[in-house]
Amino acid sequence: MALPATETFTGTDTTSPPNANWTNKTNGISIQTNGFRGNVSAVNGAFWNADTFNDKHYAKAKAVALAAGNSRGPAIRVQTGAANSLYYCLRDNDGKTYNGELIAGSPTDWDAGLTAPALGTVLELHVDATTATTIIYKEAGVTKATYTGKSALSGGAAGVSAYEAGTTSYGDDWEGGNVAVAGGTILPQMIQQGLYTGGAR
Amino acid sequence: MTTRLYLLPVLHLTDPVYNVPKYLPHRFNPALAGLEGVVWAWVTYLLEDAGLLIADVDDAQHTLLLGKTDVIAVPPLDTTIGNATVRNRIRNILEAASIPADWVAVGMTYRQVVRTVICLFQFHNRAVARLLRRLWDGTINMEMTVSEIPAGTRDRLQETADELGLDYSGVTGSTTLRVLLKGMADQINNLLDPGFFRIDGAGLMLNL
Repeated sequence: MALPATETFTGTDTTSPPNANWTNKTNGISIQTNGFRGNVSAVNGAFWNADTFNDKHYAKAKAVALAAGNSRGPAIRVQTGAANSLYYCLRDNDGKTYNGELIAGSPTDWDAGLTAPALGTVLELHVDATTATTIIYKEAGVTKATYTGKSALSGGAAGVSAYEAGTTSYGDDWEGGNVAVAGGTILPQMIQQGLYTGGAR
Repeated sequence: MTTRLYLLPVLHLTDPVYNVPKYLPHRFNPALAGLEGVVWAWVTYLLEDAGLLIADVDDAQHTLLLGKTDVIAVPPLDTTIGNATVRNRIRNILEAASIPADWVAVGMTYRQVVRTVICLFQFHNRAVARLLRRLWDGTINMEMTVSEIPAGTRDRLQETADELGLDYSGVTGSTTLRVLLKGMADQINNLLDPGFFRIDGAGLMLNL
């Protein structure tokens, strides 16, 4: 498939992973109300396996409905090997969004949490286009926080994260792709296909 | 309110499993009375027991933290370490957290110390993410030489250096882990853009 990839998690509740394009990591996720939820009472994750992501990639998702103690959101740098490691973005029912890292199954928030946007807002984590150890958090495309020096993980894939397995809590409308890096090689076919327009903004 | 920098303990909660800053508010761990609602951001010595944390505190809250024997309030960053007593205290605190610190010297600024510690964290944290466990797990300590540690750990350390583009050629079987980490941290320190030296999050930012 081609990036960016999208997913609407349409299917039967409890299907885990949601379909063949997803690989469960660190407990895994299930379909819930044509969205996604976690499988257990801990940090859960999964990654999109149908494409290979660059080191600099992003993921977007919405938290649509949340019950107490539950949170949903995108994830990046989901390690595709044995490690249960990823960078998570968890929009919690308590009104805050918690960004952080899960390393070898052990989670650490990067800060005290940010005031969360309304349910249904697109949440995004992405690797900075210039510095691979800088992680940017956006809401509806607007940068809300920058995290410097997050060097533990590299590579990996875009995915989703969830805390808790509540069946009345779900996220939806995922997108994952590569971050555009300035100064890249412009191939003739990119111009032919309209993918490059001479730097017009 | 002032954004202040602290070195403080990390609590490793088990139910739920979460790493949280001691004394500060976290959704899974209540704050010390008087510190409720304090906004913070941090970088941790991954899976170990220490973190460098910035917090937006008032004078009373700062005094509360100063009163904790396991919390270090880092002085203004351009202050120099004035004497051997202060130097030794810094060394002891860092070493107690398994952070190599025999390089801390009188005349250094706190900014120099914190930057080097951040660079130590960078190498250590990438290595830990490759090891999938604590580095200082009770069987490995800073005085051990490279030849004394398990081959798997040795390989992960070299892979970490390679991945970060660091020169590992000076590391031999007789190199202690203390020297190895400091050597890698020094290389990172020399490679990094000054803009890298920052702790940020939750609307706070401290340039180091």
